[in-house]
Amino acid sequence: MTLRTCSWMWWAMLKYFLIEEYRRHIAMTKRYSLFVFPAYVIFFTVMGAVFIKDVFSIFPYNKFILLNMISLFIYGFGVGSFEFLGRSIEGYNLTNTSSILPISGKKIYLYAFLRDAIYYTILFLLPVFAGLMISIPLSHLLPLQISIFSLSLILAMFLGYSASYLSFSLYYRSKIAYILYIIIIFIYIMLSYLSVTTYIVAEFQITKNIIYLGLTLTVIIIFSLTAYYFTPKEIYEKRRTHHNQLTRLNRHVKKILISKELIDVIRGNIILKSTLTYFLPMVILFVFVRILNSISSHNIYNALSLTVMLSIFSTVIYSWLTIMDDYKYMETLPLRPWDVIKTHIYIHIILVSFISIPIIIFLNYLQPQYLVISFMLFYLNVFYLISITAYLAGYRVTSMLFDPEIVMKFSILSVVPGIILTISSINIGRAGEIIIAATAALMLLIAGISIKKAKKRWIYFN
Amino acid sequence: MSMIYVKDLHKWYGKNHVLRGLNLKVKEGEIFGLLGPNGAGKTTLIRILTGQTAATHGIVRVAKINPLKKSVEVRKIVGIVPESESVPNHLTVEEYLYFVANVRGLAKSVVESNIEKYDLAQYREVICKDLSKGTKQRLIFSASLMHNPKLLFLDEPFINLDPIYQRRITSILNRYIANGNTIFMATHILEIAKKLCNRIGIIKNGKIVKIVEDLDDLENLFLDVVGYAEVFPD
Repeated sequence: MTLRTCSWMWWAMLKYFLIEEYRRHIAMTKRYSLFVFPAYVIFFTVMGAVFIKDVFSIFPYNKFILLNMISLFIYGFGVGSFEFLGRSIEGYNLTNTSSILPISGKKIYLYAFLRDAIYYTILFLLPVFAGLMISIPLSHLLPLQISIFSLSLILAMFLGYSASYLSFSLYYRSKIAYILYIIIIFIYIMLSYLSVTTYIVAEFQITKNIIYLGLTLTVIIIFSLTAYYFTPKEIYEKRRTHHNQLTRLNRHVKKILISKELIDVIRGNIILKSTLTYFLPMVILFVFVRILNSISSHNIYNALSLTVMLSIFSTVIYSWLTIMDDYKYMETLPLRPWDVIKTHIYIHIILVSFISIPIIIFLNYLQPQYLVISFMLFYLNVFYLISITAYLAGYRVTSMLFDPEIVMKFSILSVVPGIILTISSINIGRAGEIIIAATAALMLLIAGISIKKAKKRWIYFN
Repeated sequence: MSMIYVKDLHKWYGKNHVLRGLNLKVKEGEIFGLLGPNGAGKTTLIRILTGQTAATHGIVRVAKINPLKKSVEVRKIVGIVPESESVPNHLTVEEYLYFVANVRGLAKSVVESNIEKYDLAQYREVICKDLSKGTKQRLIFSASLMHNPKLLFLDEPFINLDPIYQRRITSILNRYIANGNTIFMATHILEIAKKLCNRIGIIKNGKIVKIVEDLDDLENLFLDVVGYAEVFPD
């Protein structure tokens, strides 16, 4: 095969992967809606760029860059993890073709990695670049500054993708190696946050030293090549067998849907996935608070505001619950989507409690007077967010992620009360208590309406 | 008594007019076959009759119940073997049958009898998703007939079964019919339709264009109705 034919085949395959990803997204939303998302990103980037000098007046440049780069790394890592480790729900797609075409699993997943890297860069980072360029007349940023910053963002995200690509290949080789790898990544991120270790992409952006650029590229290439090497040629799902646990569990639980979902949680590794996508970001968030407190003359956040943030992050667990099973078979039974949604709400509250109660107690260690109200606020916000998610996205939350209309509604409904609760709880006094009580009452009302509407809205599984 | 009654049924999917004023009556105790080319509207009709999707316009009754308003009530009394072989991701064969029995309020003993009847004992502890297509289809048959429904909907039911299990399932269906139950079966395989059904409706472009009661000349009638050119384009 000539080099030209080979490169043509590579490009053709990659093109089909990209087309598939695009069609997967527009299948979940309206065609025009996909393009509304970059428009949002451009708008918020312009707004952010205009006020960037105000941000730097209260927040040191180096910390700002560090937080941005680490956030993008986590985003890249998260997107990759959902794609790779959540692949069992996907059904037939190009990543399944290795079993029917003369193409190895190694190549297939390399394409999948490149697809994610290119597709989400275009969808997310290109609009950031465009937004920054548009903002020039107001922000007075230089094109060169913008270009270097955008390059750093791309590198941070690619680093996240390549790290998740490696995690996937290790997952199929050895579960122990996989867990160790995750722990190492986590420790490195934590130490970078605390400025104990150097976070290479952020260092490139801060110092503009080309050595860090080279280092970052080298790490991305090493991660990708190692991942390629470790990815099995063929990924066979072994025929899994289990003793009947459902009957035993249901003897105690007495609700068959809850018992069934609990089995799914155990066998679908939801505890591990929730730990990676909920518990870890939580720990990172609290270190972030520590950084903020260390650079501020007084404590910016207290236990109450942190609890509100904790509840906002908890929606990640709900999205895992909604992709555990292929619910299509339930259409043939006397069940409604609402039965599934209701079960997910119960399970979500159980799981979130299981993971969050120790964190809330830990957060309130220094301010024990807020413990009771922290729990009340936490469960209020968890219930509120899940109710509006259930109404807006039904039993499949993935459809929500790419539909800007739903994202917009969810953002308004979740962010506004979240901000009010957070700000009111920072320096809690008489006025703060009244605002919190009024907001809580309003949230309960909206949650009630959402639940009522969700029952009527989600009648069919399709 | 009409087990299924449909009048002037329309279904639009976006700009696609799938069912165009469909009329139909199926009597209690008969095996009614719905024969038609791919895309004619067979699956859509079954989905509407079983309350899995809404109709745009029309009157529908299944055992005197309106599935457009009482979808769960309809699914309580009917059995459905869908076209897609959807099974749970994480439950074993035994657990899935237990789940179905529990949702339908049946005794646990039906699980064992179904495992035996459909030859599923060796797969009892296997996760449903990991079964072969044919075994999945048997499992779906088992789940759909577990509650002895008086009406069974079959959508391309034999497509994944080998000849041995096609015969076994056929004999189970014959016994099921002998007890006075009704079957509504969509298929595009003429031989199966001819072998099993009492009456056949030929569907084309979202309408039942002919009801055939004398099945001897089914092939020619089907070609006449669907169009010879469509079946043999060369």
